[in-house]
Amino acid sequence: MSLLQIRQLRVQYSNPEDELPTPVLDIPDWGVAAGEQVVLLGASGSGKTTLLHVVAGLILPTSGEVRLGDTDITRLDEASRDRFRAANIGYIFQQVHLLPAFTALENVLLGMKFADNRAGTAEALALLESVGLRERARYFPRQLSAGQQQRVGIARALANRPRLVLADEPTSALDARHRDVVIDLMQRMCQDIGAALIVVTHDEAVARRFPTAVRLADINHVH
Amino acid sequence: MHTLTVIYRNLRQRWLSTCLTALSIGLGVALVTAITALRQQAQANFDNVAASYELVVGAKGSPLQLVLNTVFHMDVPVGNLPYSYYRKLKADERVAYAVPLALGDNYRGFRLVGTEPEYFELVRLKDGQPVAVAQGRTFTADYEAVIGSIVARETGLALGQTFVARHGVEDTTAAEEHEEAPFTVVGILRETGTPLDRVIFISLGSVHEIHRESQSPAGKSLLEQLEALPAEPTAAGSPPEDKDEPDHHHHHRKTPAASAGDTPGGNKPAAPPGQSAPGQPAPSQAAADVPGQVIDEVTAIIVKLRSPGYLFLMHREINKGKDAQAALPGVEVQKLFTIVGTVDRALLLVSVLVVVVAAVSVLVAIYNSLAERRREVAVLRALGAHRRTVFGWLVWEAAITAALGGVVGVLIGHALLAAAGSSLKFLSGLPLDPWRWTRLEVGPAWLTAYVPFEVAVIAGTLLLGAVMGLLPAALAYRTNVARHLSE
Repeated sequence: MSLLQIRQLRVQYSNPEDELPTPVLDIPDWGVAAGEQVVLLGASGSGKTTLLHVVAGLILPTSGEVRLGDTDITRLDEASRDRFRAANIGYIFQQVHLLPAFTALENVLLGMKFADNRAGTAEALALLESVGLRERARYFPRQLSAGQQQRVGIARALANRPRLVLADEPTSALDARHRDVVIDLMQRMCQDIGAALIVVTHDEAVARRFPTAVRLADINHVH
Repeated sequence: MHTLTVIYRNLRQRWLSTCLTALSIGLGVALVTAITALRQQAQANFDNVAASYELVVGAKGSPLQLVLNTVFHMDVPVGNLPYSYYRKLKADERVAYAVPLALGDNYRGFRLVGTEPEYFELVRLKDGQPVAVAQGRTFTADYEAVIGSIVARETGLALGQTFVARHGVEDTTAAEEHEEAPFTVVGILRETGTPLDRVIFISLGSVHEIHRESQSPAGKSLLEQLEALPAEPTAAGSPPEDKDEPDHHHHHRKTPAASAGDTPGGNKPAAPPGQSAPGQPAPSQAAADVPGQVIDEVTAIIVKLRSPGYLFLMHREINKGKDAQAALPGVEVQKLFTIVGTVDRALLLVSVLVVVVAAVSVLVAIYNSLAERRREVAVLRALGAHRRTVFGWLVWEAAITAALGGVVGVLIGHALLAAAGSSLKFLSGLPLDPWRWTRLEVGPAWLTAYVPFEVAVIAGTLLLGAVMGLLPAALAYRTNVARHLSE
């Protein structure tokens, strides 16, 4: 049984000038199994990020069902979606999205805070250790390189032991060497906690590093 | 991670904006604090000092001026009373004591006040203690002086040193110096925390003497010369007040005859022969006959009655008479602060407006930061933060920034008092305690009884800041997460 199950998903953007809304996504059926690692390939503007936002519950689809385990997140109210997202989904952003006011450690702790995760500093430090940044825990984002920042981002996304990790072009700001480090890290850490991983990218080089690569165009009926 | 840590980090991230915003609020709060504390302490001081004096009697005129002059040693004298009036009052069986004061000269701005040595024993200050000499002794002869503690400190005069007085109660360079009449310091008063600390006490005889000696070479007193002038002195019906005249002592005054026209014997320095009170020779005779021994008039009389029951009776009786007026210091101070209160309220209103305008700057500062923070808000939301959480953080941020301004403002306000305190004490002799809590004057009793003004002000800025934070927080609340994440 799939961990993530999408059925009859339609997302349209209403266009103020046009009478007709612009369809973005039309996915009849797609799923990801628990612990599976999938790369989703697509050109920019093809709706990859929109799909991740829908899966994360950040936007509601026009219609359809997005089920994570037993929960159809499209049926939750906003506050419940926030809580559900905090506890079940780890999000790794395209650009580096660490909060500049907080240290690496605090960025990880903030990730825990919203999930009411009582695990404290020790666990956050352990996470930083596993991304190789234990000794940089008290550094602010501006004191870290782009690759280091993205590793902190991975630690933050995994802080609540989510069932599903979503990564939106996680390596686009990195050079080839750091790209490989980050991808290895994501794969290894998701495996360690048994989380499914969906990486969206336009980069074939990234796609080659995953066992399963899906072209968005193959599952999306909007062209 | 505690919410306060989050807010602290966010404030620190924009520390310059935070500091400037807080400072702008702080300056407004400083004004509010300084004005309120100053007025409150001044009023308490004035009330305290006034409470040491039951009744003061002086020439007809403004009772407030009489009280300011006699009790606070400010402003110019109203006029003078014949010495006989003092003797009559002293002899009244209802009077516990009556102490005369005679004014007219200064030494570097400190007033010379002629009185009887009994002043130091009879007049009890608010602490129940007499004025009392701390070093040396009281004067026993003319040209001996007992100086207040501030006088000693500011002028450096010590026991045994001499000084020369200038004419007039105010220190003006134009005033003539009594070259030939140096005073010797024989005593220094204890520090009383009252205007007495700024006074130089001399004998009544000395007051008389220095002016006799400053007569013109022709042998006629200046007064006599003035009286010979046609215009002013004989103008009957001219007002008895001559407040604007700084050079105000008997022999040198320009208007005593005019005053005397209205209030016979009141301001008049010397009754003409025939009208003079029994045993009161005219000054020219006194000067000629017994130099330094005859005192013809006093500026004011401090009176204590044997029973409080006599107070209003006596007050009315004296005011009904044509010779003098009696004033109740407590009542006059109340009147003064009713007048001052209007100005005080206007200043306070302006300061409160400054605070409110500054509080708007909190709104602006956070609103401006919002542009760059939209993405942060979106990231927080993606991490699972509720809208409400982000909203609350921003409101708290605004509130804490403003309250920080409140704390800084209260400190600056009191620091202003501390900086101004010494000069204020120098001016009025009234001490300020710049670091004392200020009493909250408005609000329900349960609040004012326990919460000092400063705490209320800080709480007020916290609330004001929170209100100002509502708008930017509402905008953050409505942040479109998906859009700001993909930007």
